[in-house]
Amino acid sequence: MISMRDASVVYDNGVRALNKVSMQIGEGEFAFLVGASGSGKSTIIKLLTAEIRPCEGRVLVNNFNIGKLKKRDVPHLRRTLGVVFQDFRLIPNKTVYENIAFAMRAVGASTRAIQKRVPYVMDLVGLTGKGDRKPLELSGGEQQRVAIARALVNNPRLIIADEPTGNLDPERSLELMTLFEKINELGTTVLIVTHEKELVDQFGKRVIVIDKGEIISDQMGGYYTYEDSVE
Amino acid sequence: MKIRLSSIAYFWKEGIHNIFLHGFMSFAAVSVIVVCLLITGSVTLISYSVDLNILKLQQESEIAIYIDENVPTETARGLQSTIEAIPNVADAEFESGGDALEDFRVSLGENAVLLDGYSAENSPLRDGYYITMKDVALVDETIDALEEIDGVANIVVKEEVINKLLQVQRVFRTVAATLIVALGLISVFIISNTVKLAMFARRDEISIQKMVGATNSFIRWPFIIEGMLLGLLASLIAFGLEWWIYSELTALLSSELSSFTMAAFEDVKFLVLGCFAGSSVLVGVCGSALTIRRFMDV
Repeated sequence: MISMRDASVVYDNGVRALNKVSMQIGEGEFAFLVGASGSGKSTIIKLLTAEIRPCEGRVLVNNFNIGKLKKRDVPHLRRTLGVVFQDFRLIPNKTVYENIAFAMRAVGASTRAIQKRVPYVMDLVGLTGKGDRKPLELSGGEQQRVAIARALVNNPRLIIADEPTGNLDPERSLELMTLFEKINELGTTVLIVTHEKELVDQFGKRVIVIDKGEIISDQMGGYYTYEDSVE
Repeated sequence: MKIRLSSIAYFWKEGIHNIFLHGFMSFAAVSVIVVCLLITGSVTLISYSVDLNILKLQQESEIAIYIDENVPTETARGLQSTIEAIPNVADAEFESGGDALEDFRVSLGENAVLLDGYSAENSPLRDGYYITMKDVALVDETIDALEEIDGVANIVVKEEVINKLLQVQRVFRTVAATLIVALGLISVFIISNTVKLAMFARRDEISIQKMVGATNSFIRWPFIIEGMLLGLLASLIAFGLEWWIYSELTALLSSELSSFTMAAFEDVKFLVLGCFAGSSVLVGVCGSALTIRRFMDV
């Protein structure tokens, strides 16, 4: 699923964002990646989605070797992933239905398949009856559910969520994490990048802590114990 | 890559939908293309008309040839076919010595008495031809060919006038071509910036498409269709406006400057429509396709 071995990333300005990072996340796992701002969390996400390439080491995501991935194969990698962002990244002038269907269109799905799959996913994330609404007519929690539905609609093997609860209140955050847990129970691997201690501790899942571009802790059923390093 | 029919329908639906969705940017793009086409088109059409008038002036420049007085008038008249056989001769008009005398007499008015005693039979003026050329630039070759004809006594050509006209034509064509190319380039620059602005406003949409695994061609097609339709719409509007502006200008010039003849728009309307549609669709499509590349590197 995800296999990083001694992966390093150095940006053009000379900043070493990741330094020989190694980690494995297997099929069906649920893991939190935690760390302070600037610790390298975002760089890992960019690496996993092939926005950037490692300058050293090996990164495998769903059997795609990121370091050797050709540009034309990047869309094929991304079709095996579902990515959820803190700022939802929804298209404001499309309806909820269109925002979700759009991800299926992008991979060349037929209209029939879209008409069958989108309502199912909307039901899964609790958005039934809201298909005709525009994103800005929804609450933050609902918008994030749309983003999750969009990430799920192509039935990805791996969901990566980058601070998915960053713009939500604690109650909505808990609901959302529960939703991710439900998705994971259905067989999808979930990697959540966050720095929300209470949430991480509440779920008792695998916690990987990153600091200054290095993995400093990786525990199953762990807690967010490195709070001093978190802003 | 195999493209589904449903995807093609989606590209068109999205392309058309986006035109209305981003109404202001569509309006801006169409307006810019229309203005650029109108300016470039008007300058081109006016240049074409001016060039036609220069050509007309050139064609009106004549070579006068005079036939030896020992050659009988009927023989001189018979030279017409020989003269017209010269490749660059457009037209040769015969004037007998008698006719020339009568014209001269008329032009003298009260002083015509000076010519008393002369008639067609003893006209002191020679028979001659007034020749217009197809291409005045070939005046020297034409004179050489005329000199070869037996009986030609004298050739009079206003070379200075012809050379001046040729010079004017050369300068005008250079200026017009430079102006048209410059306007064309400025238009492409303005249009591509407008397209860039439209793309910039939609960069988030493009990055989301990239993130969910859309291929570059999937993202590009609706933009290309949108660019093509906007270009086509702009060209039709510009064509209608150009026709109206040109007709008004023609009417104005024909009343103010009657000797200046504007080319009839009807004669060139399909060419204008073709050029407008071709260039604006090309600019719309290429502008979209090239500009979108900048936003797809995600």
